[in-house]
Order: sequence, then C-alpha cells, then structure tokens
Amino acid sequence: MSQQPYEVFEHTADIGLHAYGSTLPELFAHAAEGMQSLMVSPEQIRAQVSREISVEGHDPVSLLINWLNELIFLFDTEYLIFRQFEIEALTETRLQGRAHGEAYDTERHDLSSAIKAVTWHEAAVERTNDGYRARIIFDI
Amino acid sequence: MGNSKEKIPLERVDPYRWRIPKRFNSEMHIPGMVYADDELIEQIVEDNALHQVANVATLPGVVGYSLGMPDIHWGYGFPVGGVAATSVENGVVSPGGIGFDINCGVRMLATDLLRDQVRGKVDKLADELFSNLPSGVGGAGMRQLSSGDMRDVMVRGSAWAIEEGYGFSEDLEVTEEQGCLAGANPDKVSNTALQRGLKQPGSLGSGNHFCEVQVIDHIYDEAAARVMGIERIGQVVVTIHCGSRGFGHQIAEDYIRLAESKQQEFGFHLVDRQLACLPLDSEDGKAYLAAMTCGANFAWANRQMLMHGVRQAFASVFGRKARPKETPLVYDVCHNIAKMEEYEVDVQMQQFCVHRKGATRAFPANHPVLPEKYQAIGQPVLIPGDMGRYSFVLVGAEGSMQQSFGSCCHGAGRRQSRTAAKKSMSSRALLDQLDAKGITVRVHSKNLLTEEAPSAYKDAQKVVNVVHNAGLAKLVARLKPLIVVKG
Repeated sequence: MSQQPYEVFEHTADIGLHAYGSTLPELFAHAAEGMQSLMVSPEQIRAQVSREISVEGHDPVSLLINWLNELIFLFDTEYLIFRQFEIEALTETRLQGRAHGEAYDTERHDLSSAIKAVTWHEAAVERTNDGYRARIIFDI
Repeated sequence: MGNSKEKIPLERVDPYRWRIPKRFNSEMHIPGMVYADDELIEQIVEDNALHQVANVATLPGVVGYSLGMPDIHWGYGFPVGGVAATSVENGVVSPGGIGFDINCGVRMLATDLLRDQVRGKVDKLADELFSNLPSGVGGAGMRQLSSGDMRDVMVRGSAWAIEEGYGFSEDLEVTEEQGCLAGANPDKVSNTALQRGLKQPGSLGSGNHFCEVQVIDHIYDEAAARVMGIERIGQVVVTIHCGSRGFGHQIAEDYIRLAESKQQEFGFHLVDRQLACLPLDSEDGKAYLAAMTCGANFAWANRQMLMHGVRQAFASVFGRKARPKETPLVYDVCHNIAKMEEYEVDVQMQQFCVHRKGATRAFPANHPVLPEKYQAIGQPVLIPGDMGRYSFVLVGAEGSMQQSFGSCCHGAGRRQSRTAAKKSMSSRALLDQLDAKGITVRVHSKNLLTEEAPSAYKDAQKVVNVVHNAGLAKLVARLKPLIVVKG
C-alpha cells in the first residue's frame, strides 16, 4: 500500500488524526497506532504485555471510537501504552482485537501529548479509492 | 486549520458584540451572539468556532442566543467558550456541551505574604508544591479510594475531602455550590468510570491544568478586592486549575455514547454527532445529570485536596499553619458544567438548563445563591490567562443576567493549535523565556509545556476587557505568574 498509515492534522484546542487502511481491520489497527504515536513514539515502546480487547458499537464510527477509548481506559487504569495491534474479528457492530505494549515509564518514555478522550466531533469512517479513511479528533 | 467551510455572516451589534443571524442555517432555532472586539473577532473567524456557535443553535429547545465568549475557539461539538440555555419544558442536555472534563474549574487562595517575603524561597516553594501536588500523565493522586469512599466523594464533593482532613469547613462557603451539587446518583455512573477515578483524587493531571503562585500586579477595584482578601499590590496568591480527571471523562464518554445511539429514537438529527443530546425530561437525560453531578462533586473534592497540598507547602516553607487564616480560599468556580438556573424571560422567571463549556458563572451582587461575604460585590470570577503574562480576577455584573445566562469567559482562549505551538518553540527556549521573566517552572513533561506556550493563547487582557466593557463582569485585579507547576 502506498499511502501512509496515519497523519496528524491541526485543531485549535486538541489534535486530529487521519488514519488509512486498505481494509477495515487495517484501518482500525492504524488508527490505534496513530493515537498511541501521538502519546509516545512507537520506537520507544516494547511489546512486553498484551491485552485482549473486545468492544461493540452501532456503526463503524462508534466502533472505532469505542476501540480507541478502550486503549485510553487501559492507559488511565494500568498505565499501558501499546505499539502493535491485531484485529482478530471485526463485524459492523463488534470488534475483537489484541494490543501489545508495556507500562508507561517516565524514565524511558518521552511523552509528546496526553490524550484524554476520543471525541465524536466530525468523526468519520469513509470509503476511498484505496480502501478506508478515518477522521478522529482527540481531547487533550 | 479547518476554516474551509462556508463563511459565517456576522452582524456587528456594538463594539463588543457580533450576531450570527438565524438565516445562516435553516436548522438554527435561535441566533448566535459572540462577544469580541474588532481585534479578537479577527482571530476568532480563523478557526471553526463560529460554525460551532451556529451548530449549538440547532439544539432542541435552545433559547435566547447561542453564546460565544471572547476566549472562544474551536472545540468539539460546542466551541470552547460557549454558553447555551435550554428550556426545561422541551429542551435537552447535551453531554458533549459540558465536555469531557466535567467541572473543570479554578480556585484561588490569598496569602498574607508579599512578593519580597517569598523572593529568597521561590525554588524551595516550587519544589514543595511540585512534590505535594501529584501531577502528570499516568500519575496517581494523593489518595487511592475504595468504591465505598468513591460513592461518598460523588455525593458529597468538597465536604468529603474536608472530613478526611483536606481543608476546613469555612472553605465551603466560598466554593460554587458549596463544593457539592445536589442530585448526585452514583448508580448512574459506570464501573468503568469508577475504575478510572479510584486512583486519581488529589491530582492535577496534564494539559492546560496547573497550579500557579501569582503576585497581585494591578488592582482595578479596591473595594471589591478588599472583600476578597486582596489587600495590596505585591500580595502573593495561588491559583489551581483542574477538574474531574479520567473519572469525569469516562462519565462524559459513557453518556455521549448513549445519547449518540438514541438520536433516532428521540427524533433528533444534529449536524455534529458530538452534540448528541438527551431530553431533559427523559430517564436518560435525568441519568446523565445525576452522573454529571457525581463528576462535578469529584472535581470539587479534587481541587479541595490540591488546595490542602498548597497550604501545606506554604506552611512548610514559611513556618506557619496550613489553615484558612493564613491562606484563605477566595473562591472556586467551575467552567464546564450544566446547571438548572432561573432567568427572567418574557416577563416571568423560568428555569433553564444552562450549558457552560469553557465559560464561568458570573452572578452579580445580591444574587440569592451567593455567600453573604460576596452579596455586596458579586461572585468572584477567576480568569487564568497564560503562564507568561497575566491572569485576572473579576466579579459578576448585572449584564450577565440580562445577556448571557449569568455567564462570562473562562480564560484567555487558544489562538494557536497545539501542534503549531510545539513547532514554533522548543521547550528549552520556552523555559528560558519564562526564566527571563522571573517565572520559575516545575513540569513533569517538558514536551507538553510548549503546547501551553503563552504565544499559543490570546491576550487575556483583551479578553477580560471585552466582558468588562460588555457589562458581563467587572475587573477587580490582575495577577502575574511567579511559579508555575504543571503535569
């Protein structure tokens, strides 16, 4: 695939992300990678622990938001940051996946943004010529 | 920045007010009104904030004007600096219109110290504050709570913290809602939210949250200042800005998700999914308000605990007691909240659900809910500017009751995106710049500091001048930063 997995766009108070994927599972994995990369650069994250994640939604946008929110929850409660994602099963309303990463360590991890929530503002999952594109704005 | 949308028509009402007419968008139920002078409006039209003012005007049951304060900027759903009131008869509550950080707010303490008395101890005080106030990303707060304790926090707010030894009962009188909004129901809060909250009481967090030691630099209204305990130029005060942490974020997220999934059921077709709303008279709407109240009370307990950490720092550095006599709380205001309040519309008092998203309550003198201490001057309005220039204290004015559902601005307001702010200056250069101004900084993540660079914000002086001149609030004092503590 020629396109990049994700790119950041500007927002006055917060931060936005476009994610791309040739398939929906790839889009969801790239969106998660993109969100994590806003916090800590992936090269600094070791895949030492993994978590099974299962979320539901009523359409692709809500499913994407819930998937990303689950990662924020794991950061807030267990301080986990991830670098690698596998989407094991994905339907219109349900996602099952696995995230690999480690606990955030102020000594080793250089935090570049603190993401607090995923917003619905102008959130979108769209078909493109190359597959799919998602647009998400995060609350910082 | 996202300014490619249709240009918003703006009608100049007077030097401080701009109307967005209903004709802009057929979905608008009411016009918009934005408070700004000629210079601020030029910055405001640069991002999507005005489109968001128009979007808010499409909410079911919204009344009066969809308001934008002079610190307005592009947020999510509502603009930051947005105010909207909905009718209790046929109106809604929009969880996104309160925002993720429920009861994010500001409190200020006065001290009996002058700048000269602090001069030789600035570093020691900064270190003490930094160690007393847990901050930063992924950091735990002062206390880890059991689920039972959390229920108490949700229902009782600041009073819980005081009973646990964080402060004194006289702090309550000078806290908005006495630090506890009625109607909390912990059963309406998810276990997920509870889990996120358990470790976080007594923590600053990150982003734009901070604790600042400041010095009174200018007094505009000596009589009002004196009532607040602000006696002279050079007096040291302390400001804390934070909210309900992950707990409030999860409550917001849970109910935005719920509202979003029910828009069809309620027959709503909103222009932005983040605006998803719930009828005030529905079970879901009531459940959100009961859960939001839990989040608000958690935030008050949080600020109360942090204030105690500040008092202890001053006690330890200056050899005095950590009590209100030496460090009295001036006031605590919230700026992300929905409140049921009464206003005169069509010659009769009616109740409305007032959404304040990055906007401060600004009740004038003689308002019945104000403490006796502030009956004669009005409610203190605390407006942090940026960490390099200044912050302000105002009091609510009569105009807020007539024009803005008892509200005014909440800060300087961003003018530059976080990404642009980061690109424009290195953290080293920013620290040097602050150091040259005599500002001592303690921060966990230097990378995050540049997002909050003074140049990323509008000039707070211009913002408060607008609310002063428009009659929403009156200027009382200006403060300059001395120590900045951030996550």
